[in-house]
Amino acid sequence: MPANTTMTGAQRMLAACRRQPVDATPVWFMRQAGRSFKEYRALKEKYDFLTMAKTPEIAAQVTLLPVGRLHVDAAVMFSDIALVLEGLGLEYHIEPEVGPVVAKPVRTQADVDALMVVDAEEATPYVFETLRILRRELEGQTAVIGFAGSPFTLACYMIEGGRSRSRMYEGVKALMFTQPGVWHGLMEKITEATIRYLLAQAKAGAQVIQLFDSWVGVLGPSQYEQYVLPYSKRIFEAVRPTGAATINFGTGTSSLLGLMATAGSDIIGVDWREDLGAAWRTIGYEHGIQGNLDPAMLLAPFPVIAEGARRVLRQAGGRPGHIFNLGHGVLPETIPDDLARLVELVHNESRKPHPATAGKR
Amino acid sequence: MTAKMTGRERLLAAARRQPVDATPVWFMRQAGSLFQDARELIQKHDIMTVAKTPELSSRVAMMPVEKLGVDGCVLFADIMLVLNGMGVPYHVVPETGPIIDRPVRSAEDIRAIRVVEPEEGSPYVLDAIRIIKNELGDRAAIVGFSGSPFTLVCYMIEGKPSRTYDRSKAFMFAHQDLWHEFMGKATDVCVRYLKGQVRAGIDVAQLFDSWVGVLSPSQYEEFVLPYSRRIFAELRSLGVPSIHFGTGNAGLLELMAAAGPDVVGVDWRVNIDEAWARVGAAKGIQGNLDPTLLLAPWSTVEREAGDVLRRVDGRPGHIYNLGHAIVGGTKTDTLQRLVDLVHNHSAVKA
Repeated sequence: MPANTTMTGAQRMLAACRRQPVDATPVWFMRQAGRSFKEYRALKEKYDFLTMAKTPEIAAQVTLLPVGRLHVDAAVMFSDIALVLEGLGLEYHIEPEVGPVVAKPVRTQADVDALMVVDAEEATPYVFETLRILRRELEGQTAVIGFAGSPFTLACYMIEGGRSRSRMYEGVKALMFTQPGVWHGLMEKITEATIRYLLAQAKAGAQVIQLFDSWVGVLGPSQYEQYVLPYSKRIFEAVRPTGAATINFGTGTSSLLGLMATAGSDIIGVDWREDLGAAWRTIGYEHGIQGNLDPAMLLAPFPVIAEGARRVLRQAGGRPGHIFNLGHGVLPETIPDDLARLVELVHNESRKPHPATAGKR
Repeated sequence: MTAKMTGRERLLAAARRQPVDATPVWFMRQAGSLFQDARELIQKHDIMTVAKTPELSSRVAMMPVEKLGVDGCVLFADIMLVLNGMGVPYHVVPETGPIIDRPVRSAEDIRAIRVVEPEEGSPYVLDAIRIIKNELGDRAAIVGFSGSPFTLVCYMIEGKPSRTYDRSKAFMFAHQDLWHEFMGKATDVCVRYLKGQVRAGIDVAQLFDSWVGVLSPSQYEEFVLPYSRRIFAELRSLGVPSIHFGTGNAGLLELMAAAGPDVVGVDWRVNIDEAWARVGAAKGIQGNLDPTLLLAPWSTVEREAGDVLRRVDGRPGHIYNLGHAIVGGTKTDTLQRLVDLVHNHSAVKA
């Protein structure tokens, strides 16, 4: 029997990204680094969000909170998808409860022309420094996840100025339909900045890259194919040579999953609106899948959470290539202890012999 | 050669999957601030007064029939009106939406909810239907509606509009018995409300399950489906065709069809031919042009509107509509051209 009878979190996570066998299903949570920890809330009293995200020591400290407390297999860097706007030379601020708000929305060809594409190391050096600290601190025990917002989701912020009040993104879609030239010009520039941003993250040590296409679910399949997919494709193509594993995540994507799978990521992240088993069939078993417990379920008593988690594991059917996660970010009211128990449950109930020992017969 | 069908005949035939001389069409939120005349009325009296005054609301409801030539005349009402009879006061804040004065979150709150006949709870809705029935004749089918029990319950728990209904879902998971009690009560209210509308003269009933897309299939099946089933069974026994509408529900279509409506309404997030294949040939389908497309130049609208018709390919049982309500900024002229396009395109095919 070899000494290492269990895989490290990093090994588990990276193996699952490659659809290789694991000793237990890896698990992490979107927004695991944050609001539900009192240490985070204490920091939040002293610093505003952007100061925290832009100070590598603080960002790394917040990132590491859930690693020690929850025993997740991956640490996702504490940051915000809006930071890439720095590389585009666009002014913004983060409004509590709302998210990024762009001071001067981008709506014309002139607005698009005025965007710069700055070198990422120059625009957001603190992001890469945070990643370097994380790799050092985690010493290969836990995988490091970097991320970016998708060009579509960023374009929504840039055009609407903030969140769409009606949830219909009519401003975004009107621009897409009436001025396709401006739309594609904008997407080109965001894609270019995003590629630079992600390449620098991989260089700084991100082992996994997740693209957050959180609002893509407002599009129909043909709209996605025409206005969004080409840009996602370019990003995953550009990241592939770095060797970082990639996750393409969206919400409300039940009817887009087949197309999202063609964008070229290793893993597709799905929300809870579709059963994981059905989603995996749609995207095809040549891709891994991440998800998909409803985050609202974490507000229920633990037996309800456990039942929901077991259901997700049953749907995954022990197939290699499943990363356990919620279908979207952890809600602020979530109790950290429940998350810790959930991690333990996922690990225990998916436990298999270590692939290295299982192979020796 | 048969004579041209009236709008009412057309919509009713399509709801029963019978052949039509042209595809019937109506739009969600066609009645309201779209027209100058309606805007003036609303400005003069405020929106709630218009909705609660049968003489005014019936006028607003009939405007799109007169001006656009749509085949369905949907009531000018709000899904929240039914809360008045339930003893759950609310007010509407411009730009935000309805705010419940005291959200319903405990057993006592739920037990205090009243289940009354609509003649008592919202008589003005029924009076408006009678006026419309009288004045409209056969020009268009009267489309009555109610918010689904899930939508009403979510609103009452949250107390204000939400994107994700986390609080409602937390309640649903943590207090399952109370959830079912609450849903049962809301269903009683919906059934009475819709039966009252049928007695007053509606031709078709649509159940708006607008926020059902926040649920997973298994959540829908356990916490919502039994109640939708009861409503459609009641409507069926009255002989009134029913439409079950939801948005963001691409993962739920089979289950929504299983609830028992005649027609399933789908949004633009799914291709209509694929959606129809999933709900099954035994159901009709309503939809599904992206409402934001109407902000595009006409050539784009024309291409995309035609794409919906091509995917349906003339099969009986299609009611043309948008995938959700008309968005602000839509021009009446564009809607007018869309109605003509739908009628002409499908008439040429016949």
